[in-house]
Amino acid sequence: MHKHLNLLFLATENLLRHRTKTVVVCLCIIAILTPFITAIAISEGIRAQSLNSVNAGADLYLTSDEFGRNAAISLKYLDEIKKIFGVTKVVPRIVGRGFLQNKLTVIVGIHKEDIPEPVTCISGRVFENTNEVVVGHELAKYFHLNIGDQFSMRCQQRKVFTVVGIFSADSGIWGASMIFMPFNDAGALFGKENVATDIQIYSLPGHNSEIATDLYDIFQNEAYRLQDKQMIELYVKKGFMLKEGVFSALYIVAIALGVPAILVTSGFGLSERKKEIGIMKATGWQTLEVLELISFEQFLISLLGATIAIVLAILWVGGFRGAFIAQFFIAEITMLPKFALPARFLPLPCFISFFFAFLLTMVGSIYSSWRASTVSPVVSMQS
Amino acid sequence: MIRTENLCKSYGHHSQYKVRAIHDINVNIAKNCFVVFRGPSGSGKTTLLNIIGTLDRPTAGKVFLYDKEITSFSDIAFARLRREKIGFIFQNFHLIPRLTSWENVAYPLIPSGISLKERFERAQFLLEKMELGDRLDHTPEELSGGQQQRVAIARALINNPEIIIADEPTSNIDAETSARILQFLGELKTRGVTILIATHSAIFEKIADTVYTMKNGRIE
Amino acid sequence: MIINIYTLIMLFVAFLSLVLGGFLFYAVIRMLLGFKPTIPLETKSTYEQKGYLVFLTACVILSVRMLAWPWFYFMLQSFVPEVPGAMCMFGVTQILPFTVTFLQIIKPISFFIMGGWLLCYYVDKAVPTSPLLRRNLYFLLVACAILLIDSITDISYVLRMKPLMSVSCCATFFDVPLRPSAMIPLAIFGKHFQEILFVLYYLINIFLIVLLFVILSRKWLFFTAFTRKIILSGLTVAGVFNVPLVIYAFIENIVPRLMQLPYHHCIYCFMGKGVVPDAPIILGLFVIGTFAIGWAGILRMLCIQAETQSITEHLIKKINGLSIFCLLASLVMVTIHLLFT
Repeated sequence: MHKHLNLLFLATENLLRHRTKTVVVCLCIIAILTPFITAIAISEGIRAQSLNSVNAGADLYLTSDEFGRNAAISLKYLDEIKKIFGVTKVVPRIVGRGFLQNKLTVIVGIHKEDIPEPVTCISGRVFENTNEVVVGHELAKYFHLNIGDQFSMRCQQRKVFTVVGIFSADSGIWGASMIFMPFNDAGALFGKENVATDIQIYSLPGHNSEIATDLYDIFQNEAYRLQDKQMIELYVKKGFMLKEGVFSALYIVAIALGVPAILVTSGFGLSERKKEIGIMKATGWQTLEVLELISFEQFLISLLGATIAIVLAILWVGGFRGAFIAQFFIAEITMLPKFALPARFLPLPCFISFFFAFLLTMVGSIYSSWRASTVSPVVSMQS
Repeated sequence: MIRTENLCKSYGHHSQYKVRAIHDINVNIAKNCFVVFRGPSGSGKTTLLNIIGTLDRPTAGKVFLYDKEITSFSDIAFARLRREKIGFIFQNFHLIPRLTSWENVAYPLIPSGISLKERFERAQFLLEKMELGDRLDHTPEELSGGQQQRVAIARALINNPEIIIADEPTSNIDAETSARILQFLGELKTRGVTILIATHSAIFEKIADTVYTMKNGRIE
Repeated sequence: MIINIYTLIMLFVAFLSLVLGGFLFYAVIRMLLGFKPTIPLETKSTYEQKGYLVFLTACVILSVRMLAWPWFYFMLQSFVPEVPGAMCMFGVTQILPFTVTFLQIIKPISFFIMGGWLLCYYVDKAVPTSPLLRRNLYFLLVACAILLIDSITDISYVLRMKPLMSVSCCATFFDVPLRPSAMIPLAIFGKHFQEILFVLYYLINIFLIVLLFVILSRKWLFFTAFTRKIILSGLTVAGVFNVPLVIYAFIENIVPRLMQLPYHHCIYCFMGKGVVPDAPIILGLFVIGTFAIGWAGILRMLCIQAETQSITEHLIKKINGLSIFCLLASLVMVTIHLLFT
């Protein structure tokens, strides 16, 4: 045990003595790992927020079915739906997109009592009259909007709105590009009456199947789609896994290319130490001990590289808002996001980064470590 | 204690210029002997000492240490022998440049699991015996040739070896230091250490028990 | 192929193992073909040098495959949202069932074999004349073959895995009275098989631990060769018998109790759902403890010779100590859980 500890401490000293090699190999590892960790952290953060939204949302989502896809649904059966046993709340809403000047915003038309709980006004009030809106904090900041300001928007029709409130939600994404307005105003803006993009149904626990049966009776021959919370959660998870997977696919290529880079950089460092290793072996060091020492050095370099990569990833997300990377995971944002990104640095991705760093250095340095440690003392001391 | 049988070493097997460094070497060295191998450059002294000291393998022949045939030992066993039984003193000192004197001396103790404190104490003791007690923290480039050789001797002694193998230990140092080294090696011999030296210098022959003269890879 | 971070890492690791394992296989074959009982002394040095490369490559592959084993289960867990009808890993295993079952068997085997080889290598290197070199090379050849099969099957599974069908929930398999995990114990032990399995779980594991203590005790030296043989045979038989016993005991008795779902016998839910957070540790300790018994057996079979006897016996003692610790720890953890649930 003491021997292995001695070798570990010596490996640490060697890293400090051979600074050039340590720095170069570390930089290679950092360059490969930092974007990877940043991306996974952003993905995890957005996924967590999305799942929180899903969990806080309705138990069932009702839409029409056109060509096998979700479509807007008529409100003609709204009262019947409210009467179904097990239904506690029915929320029709319009969720659409429109351009406010040059910025694409999400427009949510909803009755004021149905505004989600996480959305809280930090100034002003919730809309009460027509043509009053509540805008997200980041959006207000972007357009320098204050309470009482007016702006016009055009989708199917042009309307002029007055800002009566500014909201801040738990999610930065929410606040970035969202406008809440009365349901009827949203319908008028999009030129649709008595129609919602979806109807959210809140139910008593365990009543989803009965509600589904009753809905079938109500809609009879009309095409509709009913999705429950678990299904939405699955879609969210699948969607994120695919995005992470696509990003990771690019990264696996980078990591594979990193192996020869590490091969070269770690090999340079070791070839300079051939004479030193020869002297070590001449004075009684075994080849396996030399190998162990070199392996400890590679392990410490990978540990150092991975740790710095994680710290830099935290800075990248916190300080630079995931610049250049966030657009892989959030649609329609610029390379330099204007809002704070949700990010989670979970243990598993950090562990993966350590594992990759170690794998890179070990695989990349197999040959150079072997060449250096099996050098004949006689030959190396002659050089 | 040390015996060789028909020891041979050749280089360049796969080329047309095969070189026989040593050929049919038979020596018998008793315990606590001071043995000198003398001869001109290229006579095979270093090669012979490298093979006896397990730094290299012969092409043919056998080496016996304490009546055990060690030529077929594995690389690990060789390293163990070098750690426990043999100390080397090289012509060019071969100190590690980035380490201080005491670190150079204590380096062979690291894989033995000895603590830092004990390594320092043992290195300090030996360096003080070499009259280098005030040079513990100096790197080799801050030492003279004689001082470096004394550090190398201290390193060779750190594991209390039974055999010291010195290859031209005084060729790169001044006469005064050479005399001190000779005196020191003599003291070691009185303490039961077997000493093998390859040298051009005649001063070692004064206290040698046996002198082997080598020429063209053979013992004359 | 399902693209997510788990499958890509699995693919990457499997390709790496395939490449390194292929190189290792080739290197070992070359060494074996060039191996002669008496070789020129200088050739021995070259041989030894190549041996170090083989060792280093084997160590890297072993660390990679060690991580590939739990990563396989992480990957299965990641497929749960993708496979329609799947509520846990069991559902995922219904797609390409033979491949998944094969992988679940070969991964522990490859880990066990590589661990055994590393121990034999250690013994060989501890002796000056390396008397076990050739035997170790043959052993490594077998280990390489298994590793290569494991890597290729991993790649094949990842590339072929698609959620093309809807699967049943684990409850339809594990919670029914006529579940497969109950059939054999029912046939052997009768209708009270669950209680018998529970008792046997403790009996056999305690018996193993006691036998290991006996082997480690000083009295072991005074036993006759015949008695030692009986004890070692008993240890082997109990160790082998313990594996299916513990699996069945867990499925039938312990898992439902620890998950506090008396009729749910799904071991995948136990491992993957986080209901019992230290479930992987409990199972991991049992696996290491059982493997250690096997490794000691490998050392006895392959490494006991005049030259290597003392080193092998010293190593066997340490491994037996590890086995005792792991089996005891697993047993204690299960017991504590059962007492407090």
